[in-house]
Amino acid sequence: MDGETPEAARPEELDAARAAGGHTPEPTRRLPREARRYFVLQALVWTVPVAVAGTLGGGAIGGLGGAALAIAALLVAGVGSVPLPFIRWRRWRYEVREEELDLLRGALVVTRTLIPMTRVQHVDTRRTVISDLFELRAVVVHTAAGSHEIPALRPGEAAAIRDRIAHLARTPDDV
Amino acid sequence: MTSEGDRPPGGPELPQGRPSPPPAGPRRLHPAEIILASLDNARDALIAIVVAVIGAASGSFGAAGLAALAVAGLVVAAVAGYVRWQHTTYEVRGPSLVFRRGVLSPDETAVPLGRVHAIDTSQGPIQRLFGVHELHVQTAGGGARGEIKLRAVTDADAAWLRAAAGLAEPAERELPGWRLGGRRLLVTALTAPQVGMLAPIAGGIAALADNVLGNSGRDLVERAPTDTGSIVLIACALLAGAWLISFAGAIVAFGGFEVVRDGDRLRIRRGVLQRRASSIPVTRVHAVVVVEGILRRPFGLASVRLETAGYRDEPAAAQTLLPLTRLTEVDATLRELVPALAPGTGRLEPPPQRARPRYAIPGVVAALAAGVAATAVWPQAWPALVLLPAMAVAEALGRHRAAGWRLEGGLVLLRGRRLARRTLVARIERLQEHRVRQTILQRRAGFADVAVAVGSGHEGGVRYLEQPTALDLFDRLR
Repeated sequence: MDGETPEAARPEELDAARAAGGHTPEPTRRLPREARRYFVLQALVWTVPVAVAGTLGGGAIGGLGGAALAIAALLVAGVGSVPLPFIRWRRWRYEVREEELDLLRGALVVTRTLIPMTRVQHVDTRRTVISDLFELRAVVVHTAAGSHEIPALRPGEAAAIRDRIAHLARTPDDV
Repeated sequence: MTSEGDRPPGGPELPQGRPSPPPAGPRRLHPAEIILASLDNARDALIAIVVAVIGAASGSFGAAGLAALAVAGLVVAAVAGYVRWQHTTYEVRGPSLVFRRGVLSPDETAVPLGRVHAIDTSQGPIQRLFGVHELHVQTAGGGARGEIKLRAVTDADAAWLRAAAGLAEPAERELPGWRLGGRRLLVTALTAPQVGMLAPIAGGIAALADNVLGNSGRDLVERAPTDTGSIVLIACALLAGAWLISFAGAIVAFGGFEVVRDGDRLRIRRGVLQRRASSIPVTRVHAVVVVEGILRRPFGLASVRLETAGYRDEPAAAQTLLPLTRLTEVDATLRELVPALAPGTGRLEPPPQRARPRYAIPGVVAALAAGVAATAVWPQAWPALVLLPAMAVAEALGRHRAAGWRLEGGLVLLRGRRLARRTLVARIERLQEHRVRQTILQRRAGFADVAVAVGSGHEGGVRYLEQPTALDLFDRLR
């Protein structure tokens, strides 16, 4: 196991926290280090076109305005290519608890989502050409309202999490 | 997904001996299906026919030729309809209802009877002529995919199908419920939410007509008066036309609307030309939304929508619980029909006063940008510099005033406004997910948003709550 992937909080502690009326404990599990470069590559899909379009557009306009546009586009693309994917990786936390899936994520907009296990309809692992480059898999959880994913996990871990969620979601009550 | 738990609690209540046992082997639909299928074919062929006619009109094709073409088209449509009817069958095979259709490559849909949670009926003019029903087999969480629609089924066949699925026949006796009276139907249609939506469409059609008509259209425009009064008059005529369509649509959809509570089910009947009857297990209603449209809110009127898993792709009218009601009556009516979702009458907790500028900033910035752009292009438009931001501020204050939340028993209420003010009333234990969200700017100012999603895929939320309030609400939604 990766040193940066701490163990999940034990269920007894959670129950104690809930009984005490405290906040739901934050999720603790992190994504593997390979995910950083994977996120960077994913970001390039939009940052490169922005940089190219901004530079060409700026050149076409010319003058001070054109230069400003080109610089702005390069700045946005630069920030979007490396710092943002790294922040995204640093922020990502997830936790598979017996009664819910807890996701915390986002670089500029931080979102925390709780999905009750009884609402999970099915769960997949997904690989793409890009994720294969880094030997990473996504776990995708589907509910009646939509889907959520843990975007980058090592294959063994992804399979284990998928099976655990499938097991926990086995007895839905009523859609 | 298991099939247990999808059965209506209380089990099947079959009227003893009434429904005939399911006939063995595949069964065809009532021959009325031949006409329905033929009409379908004719409609599909209509485009081809229109193209042919336009082509013929430029050539030397007489009226007799056109008539022959139309007759030939109808004959082909009817023959194809007959063949389609011959190859469309349904049967109860083991634990499943199997529906088979298609001539060259037949499609077979099998639905486990245990997962059927309702068989809805509807009756169009043709079905009424033959005394048959269209059956819509609704399955748990199925959406539109994999659902079976039988377009012409006799009463007797419908009865044994219901019995096979373990569904109770609709109660014959008069049940207490809610009916849309003549006056309310009129007001429903007058204030139908589509009215506002139709105006831009009418404008679009006018623009399109101008394109299609080309030069003759331009002549028309040149001959048309250009003074403001006439333009206003034309706009009013377009609006009136759009409104008339919307009015007629609402009458057709909601005429004779009634909803009754029959045991553990809601039974809804509605429609003038197409008479529809649907039933929904009350346990399957995860939430309701109280919608106060812009034309209804000033009069304290609202409509109430059902949020039900499995009805995601149905048309909006199919999800209506109350087409028109007084806001003050919503709680009492829901108490009678869906007691678990009666929202109470308490006040909602508003977002803090200090959040008001936050609601306004994005809109005002956008309005200013639009005003500046307009003025740059056309200097006479300078009032837009003041007017647009003022409108944005008014809109933002309205949204801030509309926003709010409350926890009530096992329910969460979330209210917001875009054009209409909507209050989502959801059972917390049936939420599909809930989340708390914070942009980096909100984080610095100590604000956070809370949102939930219900089984129909719809969402509700409140923006810019105080961070501790938002986190507390987030925790209490588990």
